[in-house]
Amino acid sequence: MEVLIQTLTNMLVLAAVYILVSLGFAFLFNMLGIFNVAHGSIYMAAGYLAYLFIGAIGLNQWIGLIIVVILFAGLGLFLEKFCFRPFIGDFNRQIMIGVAIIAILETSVNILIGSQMYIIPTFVEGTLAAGAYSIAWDRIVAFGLGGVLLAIVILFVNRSRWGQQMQAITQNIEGAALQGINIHRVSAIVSSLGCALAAIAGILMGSLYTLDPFMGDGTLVKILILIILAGVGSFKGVIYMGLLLGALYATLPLLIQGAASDAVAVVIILVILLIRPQGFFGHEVS
Amino acid sequence: MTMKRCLLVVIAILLISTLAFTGCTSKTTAPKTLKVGILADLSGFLSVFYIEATHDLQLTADYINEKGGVTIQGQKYNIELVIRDSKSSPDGALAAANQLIFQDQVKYAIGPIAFEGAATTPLFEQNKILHIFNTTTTSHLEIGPDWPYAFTGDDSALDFSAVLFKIGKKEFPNAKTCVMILPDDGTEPYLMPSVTPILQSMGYTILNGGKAVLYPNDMQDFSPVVSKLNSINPDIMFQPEAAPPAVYGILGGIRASGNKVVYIPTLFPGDPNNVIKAVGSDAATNFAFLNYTKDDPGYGPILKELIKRLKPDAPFFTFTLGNCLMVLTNVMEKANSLDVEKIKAKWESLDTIDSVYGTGKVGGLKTFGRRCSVTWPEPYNMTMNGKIIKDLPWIDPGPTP
Repeated sequence: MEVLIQTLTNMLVLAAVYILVSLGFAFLFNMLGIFNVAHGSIYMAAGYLAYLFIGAIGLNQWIGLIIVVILFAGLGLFLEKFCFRPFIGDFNRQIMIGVAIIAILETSVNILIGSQMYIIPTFVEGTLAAGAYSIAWDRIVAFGLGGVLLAIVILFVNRSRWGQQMQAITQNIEGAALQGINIHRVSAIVSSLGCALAAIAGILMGSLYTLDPFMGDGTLVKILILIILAGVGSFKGVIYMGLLLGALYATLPLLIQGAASDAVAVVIILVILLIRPQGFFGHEVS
Repeated sequence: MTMKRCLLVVIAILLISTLAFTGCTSKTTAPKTLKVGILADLSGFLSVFYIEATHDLQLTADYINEKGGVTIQGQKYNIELVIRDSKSSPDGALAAANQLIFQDQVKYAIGPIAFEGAATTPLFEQNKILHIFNTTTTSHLEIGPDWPYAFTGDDSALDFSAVLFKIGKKEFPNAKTCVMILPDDGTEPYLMPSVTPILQSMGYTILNGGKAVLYPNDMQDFSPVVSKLNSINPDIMFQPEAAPPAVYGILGGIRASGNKVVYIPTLFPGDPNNVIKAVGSDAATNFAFLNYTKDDPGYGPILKELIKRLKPDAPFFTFTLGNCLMVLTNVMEKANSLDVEKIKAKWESLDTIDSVYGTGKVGGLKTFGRRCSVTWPEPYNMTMNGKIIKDLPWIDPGPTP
């Protein structure tokens, strides 16, 4: 019974973690069709920069988080203007520019901060005990923040003026331009928000786990799995697929030893994609 | 005229003799270069460890050269390191080993790290390259009776396990049931049969059906592993191959679940202060770990000297590669030869070898089928109730069985 409750808790927290790290990628992909393979490196670089402010300089965690998020929102503006805008609709070049950004970010972090593993001090210390069970507060914060940010993103996209403009661009970019929507301004906001979301995820993950220069690479694979399963254009799908991945990665290691659990999870995902290649909630893309 | 001719002949003879004599002495006084190949993971996920390890290796090579280098049959040799990047993968290590053998023409190599060795050992062996692991999983794909040129220059997973078990008995004598935790890197089938009789002879009951709890090498969230460990519920957990993310993830997770089980891993690289930063002072209890701190009073003179030469901002140090280098050069000098066969034979005949870490004990006949490993005592620290306990007496694993 104890193992079951622990596993359920792990599943929900893992789901929230995967949703949190995927949101920024999903935002850019669903709104602008940009396949940002550098998302993992942006998330890693944000974590390391936050460590610099919080761990090395000694700023308060929350102030450090806000500063880094603002800086990376600014990075998003830069990336949109010089890296994404010239290549919208050109998938191959998006991949190439993403790889270049990965190389620049990983090398810059290694040179400026080092290739060591660091830990961002936890945002909320202690555990919440409920009878025989307890869960660390920082995991509850990750769970809560993941849910809140997802809700904000969905509301923003569906209810706000900017969100409707973003949807218009997604559906028909020329038509949106003819309606007087400033494509570049909207794209800049999308990119800025996408990078800000990646930064929030990187900082929280750096405090939940350990920062290492390659943490973005492994995370990117899980993000891609989640986004593809969720389907193009769907934020609701991100919730359900986050829960699916959380369930797989929380339960399989209990049943199957070691690296085989990862392999089985990927096989299950492959089977799902064979049955439904467009994902569960999205639309087909030509 | 005759006198003059005689004088000229004498002078000529004297000149020729002087030249010949000077040629002979300069042949033995000017140091030559001794190339040693190094396989180090300078990129990829293991670079977080190996970049520092390579700096420290260079310090060791400089130290040996300053002390006169390596002297073989009266000829001095200065060490030149030829470093190739293994890229944290077996195929990267294999490519680097090819470069060392065929491009750099080395006869001796240090590295690669454990799981990469299964790729490089056959190549080194075919080409009769004497190769020294700084760490090995003890798999017979890397080192064993079929690989006569393979050696270890630092404690293996088996030796670390022996140290962890002794710490458990010394510091937590009431613990009776145990479980081993290992990354899923192929070590388990080789290590568990070796450690099981040791654990049983020390009075431990091994839970989980005698098997280790395995996790993927690149795991980030250890909560499923923690759930599994909670379901097994041992008195004590041993983890002889552990990187900081795994240690902090398991320790933090298991303490957050309310479990105060004793946990004893290796923690390289690491700093005891980071333990408390990582998991909080409440979680930092019932925790003992193998770890090197800069100011441990148990260090020998060579290690103390090398630590003084570290950069002030070096985040950690590890002389594991440097230790292998000094083992190699010391055995060369004892063999008084650069010939691989003679060095190999000498190593296997010795009982002790001196190096950076002090006097190491040669062993390995039962485990590897050859006397090809060297072991040293290891330092450890503890955290109890959020407080660091340092400078504890070192634990000697004894020679590898």
